[in-house]
Amino acid sequence: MAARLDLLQVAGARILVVEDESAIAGDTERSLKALGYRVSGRAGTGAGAIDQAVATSPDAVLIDLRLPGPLDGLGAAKEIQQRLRIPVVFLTASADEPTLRQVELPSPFGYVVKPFDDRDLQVALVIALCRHRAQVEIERQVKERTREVAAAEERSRQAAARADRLRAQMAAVFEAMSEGVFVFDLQGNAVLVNEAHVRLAGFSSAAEMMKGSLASYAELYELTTLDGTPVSVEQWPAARVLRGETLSGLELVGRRKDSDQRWVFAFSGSPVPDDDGQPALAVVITRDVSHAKRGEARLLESERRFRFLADHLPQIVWTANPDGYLDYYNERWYEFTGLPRGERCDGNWKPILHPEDQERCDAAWYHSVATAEPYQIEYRFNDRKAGSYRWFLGRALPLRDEAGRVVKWFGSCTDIHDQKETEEKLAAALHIREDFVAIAAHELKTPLSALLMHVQSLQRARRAAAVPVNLDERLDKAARAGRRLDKLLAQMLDVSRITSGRLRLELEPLELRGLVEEVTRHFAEQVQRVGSSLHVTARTRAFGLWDRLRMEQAFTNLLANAVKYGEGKPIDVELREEEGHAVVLVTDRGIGIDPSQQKVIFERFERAVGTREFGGFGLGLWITRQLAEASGGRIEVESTLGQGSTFTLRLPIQPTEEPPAHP
Amino acid sequence: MLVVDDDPDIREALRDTLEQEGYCVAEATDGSAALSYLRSSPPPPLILLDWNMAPMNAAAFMEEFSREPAYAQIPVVLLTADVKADERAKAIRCAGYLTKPVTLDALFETVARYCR
Repeated sequence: MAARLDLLQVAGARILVVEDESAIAGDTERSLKALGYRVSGRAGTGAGAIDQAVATSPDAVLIDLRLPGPLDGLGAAKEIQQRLRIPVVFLTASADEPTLRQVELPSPFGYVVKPFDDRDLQVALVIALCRHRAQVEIERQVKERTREVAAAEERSRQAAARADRLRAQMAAVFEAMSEGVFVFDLQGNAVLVNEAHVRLAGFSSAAEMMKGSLASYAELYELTTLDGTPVSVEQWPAARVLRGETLSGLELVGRRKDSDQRWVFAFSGSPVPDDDGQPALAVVITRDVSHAKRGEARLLESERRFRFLADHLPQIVWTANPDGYLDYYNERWYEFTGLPRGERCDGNWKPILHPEDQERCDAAWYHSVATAEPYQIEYRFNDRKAGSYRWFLGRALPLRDEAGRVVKWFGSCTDIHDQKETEEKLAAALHIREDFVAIAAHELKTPLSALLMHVQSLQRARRAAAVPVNLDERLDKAARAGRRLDKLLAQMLDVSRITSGRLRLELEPLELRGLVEEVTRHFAEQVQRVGSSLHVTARTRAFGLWDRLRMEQAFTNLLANAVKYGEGKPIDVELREEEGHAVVLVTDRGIGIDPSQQKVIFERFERAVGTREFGGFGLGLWITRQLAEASGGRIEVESTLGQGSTFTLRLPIQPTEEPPAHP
Repeated sequence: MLVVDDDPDIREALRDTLEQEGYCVAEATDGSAALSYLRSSPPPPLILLDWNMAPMNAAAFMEEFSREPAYAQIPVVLLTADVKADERAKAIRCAGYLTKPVTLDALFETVARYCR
């Protein structure tokens, strides 16, 4: 095609004219120009032809066969053709035609027999130019094709080498994988298996394993689910993948029937499509997770044991993460709190904890979490069944890994309420006893002081050989101080007896009226001394079974108080009988008792007017209350501050047939 | 001298003992009784003051007492069974103290120091 187009392009071609006869050369040039060619140069010898050809690079050389000089036209043409690959057309005499036919030239050539006309010249030139161009084109194309073939060969060689390399790498990867890789074709025949799979499945070599197919493996192995359900060969991972499924991490138990070896396998796999996108191969990757499964099972077992133990402990047990998040409570906690099981643990203890303990608890816990120091605290939890708070001892220790990092906190809450209450009672009892001893020592010192002063003073008088004028009176006073000491000691013993539950009433039939009157008489002197007066109204005899000494003691206490706090004003004592009870009322018109104090005055060591201001242990009313209660009765007070008090003693009358002893 | 104590037995014992030695003794049953005595009588050369009294105790009495410049020259000796008698006496600005039970030697020595 290209050559044909070139035919039209011979016009304007540049021609070298080589002719030793200048007339012919001139004619030829004129003919060439007339035909539309250009003349690139002219030469008259063979050597000149070569020089001109080199210098002007003509499209063709028109050369006379016979030239003068050592190199004739034929030699020059040969040289030009070989060196410059320029087509040559000979100008020749007809006699030389046979010679020309025998000439062997490397490229096709043409010739024109002299004399020639324009047409002859044109034909010869067109043929030569076109043949030359065609030849050049063919040579170019051959070269190009040769190059292309060589490049294609190189590319294919490189691709083959790459493929080989990739195949080798893939094989290495397959063999290096710890997972077993098994490739099946659509018929279930083994196509590829790696070393790991050979080992995994208990074969001796890949070659041995490759002999098998899915069907033959089904004879050798059985697969079950983790809970033991058999898996048919149609449901084996390879079969499912061959049907186009993609699997990931499917855990199954495998057993080799001949050796009874067992594994837990995790299967993954996917189909490999052919060029049409249809499944062609099944790749199944198998991982042996037996060890991990055993570890998991051991962990579960260990956890199950911990929970069993924790749930059966009498204490509340809990665990927390290293960051302090509570993640577990034992059964005891849910029993105690009534909180629903399975709800998030962290923070659900807040409403159970006593509001006053929350800040302290938070501070202690977060300190421990931050420092990994053991946690210990005493706090109160609401006991929903009792509707009150109970004291607990909360403790926790961190569990650390080999690197010393905290991995878990294990905590417990132990009910220490009863223990704490006992401790508190004991502490209170000890405190009371210390108080009592202090008060007793102090109070005993007052009459002792008086007694000692009287005695020492009399001793001093005697040493001075002087007899005091009022010796008898002084001795009486000393004796009275001694009796007061004795009374205080008796009171102390009473307290001891009452608190230890050793108070026994010795009942005898007698009239309470006589007893009241007798005690009142004992106070006559004292009443007179403070400028008071005492009036007794007995409306009943109140005959029954009474403990004489204890009743006397009770009335004495009430009267002593009336005198002590009566501010010297008249005191009334009344005895009456109401609903089977003897009622004794002692009324003074003294300082009275503040309403807030009226209850506590019957407690041990309580006195409305402040500690020890009025002397005595402050035990009188407490002892009186204990005596009244021991007799099945009670004591009450009515009082107005600044106006006086009325103490009412109500004692059940125990009737008796016996005649009353004289009081 | 003036004996201030709410316990009649103690007042009596002190009066008898001191009178036997020739002292003249006035009695008051508590702080307020002592103050009214002081307001109506010539100042005594010495006051023996019990610590624990009611209604007006020693501390309350000393507060009132110290406010009156006329009483500045009257020494007050505290009578107490307390082991910290020394501190107590200092705290309420008493001139001295006697611990219960009072021994006669200590009593006479103290009294003699203030009543010549």
